[in-house]
Amino acid sequence: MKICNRCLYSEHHPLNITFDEEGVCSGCRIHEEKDLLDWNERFQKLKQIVENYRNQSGNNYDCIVPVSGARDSYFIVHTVKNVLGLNPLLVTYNKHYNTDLGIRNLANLRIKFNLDIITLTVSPETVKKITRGTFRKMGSIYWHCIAGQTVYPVQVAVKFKIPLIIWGAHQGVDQVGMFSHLNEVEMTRKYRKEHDLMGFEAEDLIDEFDGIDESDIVQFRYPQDKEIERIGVRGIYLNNYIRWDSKAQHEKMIELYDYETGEQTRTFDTYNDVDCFNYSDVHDYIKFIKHGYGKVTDHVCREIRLRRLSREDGIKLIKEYSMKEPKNLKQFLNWIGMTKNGFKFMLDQHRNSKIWFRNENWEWELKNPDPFQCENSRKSELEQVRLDLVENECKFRYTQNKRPDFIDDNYILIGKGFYK
Amino acid sequence: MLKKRIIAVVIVKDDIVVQSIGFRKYLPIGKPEIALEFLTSWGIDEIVYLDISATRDQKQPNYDLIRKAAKKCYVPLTVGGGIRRMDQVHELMSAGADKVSINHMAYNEISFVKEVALAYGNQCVVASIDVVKTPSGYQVYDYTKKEATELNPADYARRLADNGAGEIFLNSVDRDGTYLGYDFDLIQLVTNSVHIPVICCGGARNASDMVHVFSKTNVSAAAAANFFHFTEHSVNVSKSIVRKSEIIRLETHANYNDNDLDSEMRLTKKDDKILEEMLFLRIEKEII
Repeated sequence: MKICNRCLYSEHHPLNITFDEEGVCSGCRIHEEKDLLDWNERFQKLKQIVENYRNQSGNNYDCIVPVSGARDSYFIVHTVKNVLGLNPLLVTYNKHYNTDLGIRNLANLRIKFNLDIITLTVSPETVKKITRGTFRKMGSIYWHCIAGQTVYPVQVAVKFKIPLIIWGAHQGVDQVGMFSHLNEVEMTRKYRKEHDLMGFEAEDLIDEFDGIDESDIVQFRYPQDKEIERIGVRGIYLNNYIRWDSKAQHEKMIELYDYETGEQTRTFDTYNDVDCFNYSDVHDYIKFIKHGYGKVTDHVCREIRLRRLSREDGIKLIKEYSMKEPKNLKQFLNWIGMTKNGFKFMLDQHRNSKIWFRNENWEWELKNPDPFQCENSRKSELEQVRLDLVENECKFRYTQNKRPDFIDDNYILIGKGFYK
Repeated sequence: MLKKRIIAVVIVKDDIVVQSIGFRKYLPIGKPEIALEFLTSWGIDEIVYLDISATRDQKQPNYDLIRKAAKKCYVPLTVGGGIRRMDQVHELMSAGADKVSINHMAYNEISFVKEVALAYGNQCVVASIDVVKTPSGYQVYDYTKKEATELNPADYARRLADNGAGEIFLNSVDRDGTYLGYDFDLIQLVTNSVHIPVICCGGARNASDMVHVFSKTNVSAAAAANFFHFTEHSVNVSKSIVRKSEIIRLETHANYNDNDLDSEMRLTKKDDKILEEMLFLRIEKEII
């Protein structure tokens, strides 16, 4: 298995990855642009783009900002409202797996920035039906979250005639270097179908076996091409114009707006995805089964590239977190109405045969239990492309829990959200 | 007069679509079948699918992958990469290709071009030429050896045409992924030397480069690879620009006729009034 000589991504990355003659991955190469580009100039470019979208009549919003309350939401809203001076409409898809902490963060975001927010909560029974279908078809319990998060802002843009959607970081740019920052990639239905939705559009879920019909997928349908054209909808990504550093950005948001952090099961990052019971838990465990790596690898690679973490410490973190069992599986199974055996059986259908095999006891075993065992023999080539550290430690902060007495152990579908 | 064509090039390396920059840096885009599906639905005229690793790794074309991708492609599909024998051409045609692109094999054995043309007709043979600019002028480039050959592109194109090539796919290696615009001198050099259609490729930043190349040269089709991946409806938007000065086909529902674009050919906002008109049905206030 080929592993990048600089970060720790392997050739099995589901977004695809390429390696150059030095054995460095496309993600690391594009990341180098972060230290080469004139970000001041790029920010001016962003200002120019959004200037055109300012509403002149006072009868509508300037743009749409999709938010979840976690994962860069604060930074995006901060940039759009307080730095660029726009009047955004916040749009949220209710992912159903909300933690109390997530509800608090979202409410705090809405109040601190004093903005309008529009939320879509799909009927839980429909969501469960769809999740059963997507789990069977592609081994994903998160399809509906990603589908909802990526389509609802576009639907709102079309409905309310707000042509500009401002997203945070483009995953393809940030993780695997699918595009250069200079390409200024924009939101496309193509990327959404292929990478976010794992090749399955809402229409592809209609299936008698899963009991999903046309009426169940309405909320996940992408608007027609003609509708997108009539309004002139564009979705731009801030990381093409701002030097993206999720950790530093979250820390600034903690200082400025009291963003609350929390412990996560399968990664050391305490800032991203704290709003969800499943993301760095059951969903990430599934990712490990399917692709042989988890969110911790994404976070380690990011921190190596940002020169806060050494390759060696990164490997330690990957070993520590990758094999961790999810804590919230029982809760998920209760919610969806599935047994643990049923869950395991379905998941086994989606194990990547390049990574797993059945041993003589008919148990699943990793073909390559320690992908980093050849590190010593590759030392000279690794040294050649190693980045010098700019910070000695890569420490993620914990903030004070704003509701310490509450036992956060149930999905909160709709929550009041703010506690003094 | 034949309509000018806008062609998307899908560059496939190790079975994934990539952005190619200068024939040496590759960025991973995704699956060929998704690329073909969306390029088709966005109204592209033709697709050229080039597997750049097959010949280099001495592999066969990946027929299964091409078959899967061709299912979602409803426009003429040219497939290239790894073609050395006639049976491979047969297999590609049955996998869904409408034409084959021959590069390395034409250079090594020009009679192969004739053989394919005899079996399937000249229209089926797209002879592909990679060109570099050297101090002594333009020269045909051998991408497997990564070096320039002695061949002059104009003479070589003429020989290919004489041997039955139906079209020339002319690629500027120096401009690949640079966004500096097409190499007009090179294109003019080749179009002037042959009577068959020439497709130009390499260097397009956006549709304005296509407008320029059609106005300044006799090229039949403008091809681009990378920039079609960057934005929603990239093809219909590009075509709406080219259509202002050239006769081309644009049959998609979303035609972008009424949308304005900035200097980089990205959409700009429609007037607030127009957007407001679309928001609700306007009824005059009733005064009693």
